[in-house]
Amino acid sequence: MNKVLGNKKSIAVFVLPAFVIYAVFALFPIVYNLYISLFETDLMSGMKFVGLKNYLSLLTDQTFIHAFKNNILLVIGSLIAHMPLAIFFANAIFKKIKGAAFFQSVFFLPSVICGVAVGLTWTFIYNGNYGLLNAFLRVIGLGSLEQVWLSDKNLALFCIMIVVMWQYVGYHMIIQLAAMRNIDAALYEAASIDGASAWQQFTNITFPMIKSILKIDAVLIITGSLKYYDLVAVMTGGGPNHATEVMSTYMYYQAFNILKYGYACAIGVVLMLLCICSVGISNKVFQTEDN
Amino acid sequence: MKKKTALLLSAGMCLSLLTGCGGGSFAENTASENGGNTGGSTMSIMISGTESDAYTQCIKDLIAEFNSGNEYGVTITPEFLATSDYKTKLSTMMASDAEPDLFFTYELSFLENYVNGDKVVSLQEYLDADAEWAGHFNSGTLEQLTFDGSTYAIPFAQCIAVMYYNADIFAQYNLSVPTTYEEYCSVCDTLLANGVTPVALASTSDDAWLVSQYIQQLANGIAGYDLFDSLNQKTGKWNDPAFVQAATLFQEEVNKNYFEKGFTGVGNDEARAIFQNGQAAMYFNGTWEVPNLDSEELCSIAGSVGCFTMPAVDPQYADISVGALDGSFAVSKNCQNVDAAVAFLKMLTSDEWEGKLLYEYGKLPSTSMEIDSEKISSLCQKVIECMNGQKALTAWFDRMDTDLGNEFNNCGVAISNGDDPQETYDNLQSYSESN
Repeated sequence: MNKVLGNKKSIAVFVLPAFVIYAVFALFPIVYNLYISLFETDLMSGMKFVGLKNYLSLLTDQTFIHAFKNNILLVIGSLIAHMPLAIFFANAIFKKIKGAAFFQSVFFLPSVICGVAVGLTWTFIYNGNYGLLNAFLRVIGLGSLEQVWLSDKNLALFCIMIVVMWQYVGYHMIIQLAAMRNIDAALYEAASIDGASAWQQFTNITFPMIKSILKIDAVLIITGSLKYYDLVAVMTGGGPNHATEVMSTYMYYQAFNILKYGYACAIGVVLMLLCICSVGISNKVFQTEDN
Repeated sequence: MKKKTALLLSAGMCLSLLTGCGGGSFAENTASENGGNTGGSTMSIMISGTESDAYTQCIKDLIAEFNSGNEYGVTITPEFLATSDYKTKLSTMMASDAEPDLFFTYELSFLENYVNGDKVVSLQEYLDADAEWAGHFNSGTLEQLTFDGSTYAIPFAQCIAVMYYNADIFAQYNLSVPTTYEEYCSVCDTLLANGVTPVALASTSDDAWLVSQYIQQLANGIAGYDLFDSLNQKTGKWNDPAFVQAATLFQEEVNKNYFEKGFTGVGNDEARAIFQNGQAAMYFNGTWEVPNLDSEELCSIAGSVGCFTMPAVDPQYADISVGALDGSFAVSKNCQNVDAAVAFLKMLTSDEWEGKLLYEYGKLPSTSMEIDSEKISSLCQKVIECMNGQKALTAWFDRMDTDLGNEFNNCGVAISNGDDPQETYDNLQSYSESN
């Protein structure tokens, strides 16, 4: 078997099926997308070559700029919830607080529920007339704060961000917890003999040892937030009046609602470039000694 | 030996991959082969409407009858989709050359996009060849489906937006149907003073068109048909003073609480339910709502629903309503047997089936069939009276221009949330100029 795997041709044969799938569903669409983004087209009545016009119009398109800002807010919100908060929870469970296994399941549960179901559930919670949130505010005597949450252009995005934070905090907690569990217990033993406090143990052992995982995690968080789609689509559809639009929902709107496929492809390319850049940046920020 | 096994295995994997990918076209081939062998063929039709739209049953019955015996030996296979999914799926299929043979369409730019994309068969020669059929349609209907002198789709129903009202509530507070805008406001004020919600209206971003159809109706009553016509001819402006005035009036109504509490978060189904349960005195929506409002099963106030057309702010522009066709069918270039498709459309628009659509499903006919008033509910009768009394109809803006119409709808939501009308429509105008 080793001999077979050592042969480059047989490696190629084994890799081929996966590569074909990857090429058909990822590489080709990316290149085709780049190509279409240089045209003004509804994909039916011929394609008009416009060069970089689509990209230049993006720079002055207020809705796109707004969607971009929303994505940045989403990245910041997710980084806060999924880095410090998730590390805090992971560390607490790692240190075996009472009921650690229970909390681990509870925090992780939302991330296994389908995004559409989560979105619908929270839409009901935020509902202005029969929503849980308004009912709760009334019960505790804060009825004056009642809102039609998802229809208020200033609040809607934050309402969605809270759901995103809630949904994925457990997922990143699990990733970080797994990294923590890989750390040699002897290190902690030695540290506690030397009289290191819990905080010192965290800053000097846990954090440096999980740094490489945090790097991957940061990439996941940032790219995930940049291409975020499902909760926004389900909860507000990008509305009211584009207030909660993010780049991917705006891309969908341009392509499928108003048939500007070229323009939508340009948004797709920008989105891809941003994701690639964010990978580079997080590699820099979380540079570890071994690379 | 091992090498051979490995090669064999991977070849197997590749093969399974290929069969997976090729499944679709294989199935299509067999379908057409089967059709060829039996001398008939299948024809696909895609329709906007789900189980909750009663009329889809009528279309199903029609297809079943057509399939059971037609001279072309064609079998039609329908596919029904909810409106928003329908629009997405149709545009995707069109863009990838996989469009169905017959498809449901809206008028004006919705269809024009596909006509310009050379996707739709002109039905002009069929209409020319059958003058009786062509002359059967109400005036102003085929025109909305005609581009450069050729008609590309056949309408089977018409609709306008009307104000439904609960006659019991009106009687309780001695109110009569308003004939001027001032009367309309005083009706609402009286209802409010008695603790009744005057109007049920939806205004979520998914149902943005409902708010905008209300604003458009107000604007019709301020500036008349010319406003719509100028926009349709691309000479008008989206920040026309009439829109700003209409939106300002609408905002005043919002501030006076004419609409249910928290209406900015209420969807279409909820707004309808509020009216059906007698919690609001009026409900502004299209005539397609008739089956939901005159059936005892669906509506607890079924017997006492009436309707009127929204009074105009400026009386000289009365009876100009938001309205258009309520469904048409077009034949795509993919269709192998246009004669059969036309035969199906003729059957659909025959008095027999237009009658079924009207009497059983409340769809107002697009043809000048004679209506037997004993077969329709009193609400349906009133709706038809409203429609016959119209001087002109202005189509929903998202049917006139998908992009700008959608943005116009979004503006409506922004305005109901308190944004400044002038600024909102200025932005829309500059957006339309930047395209």
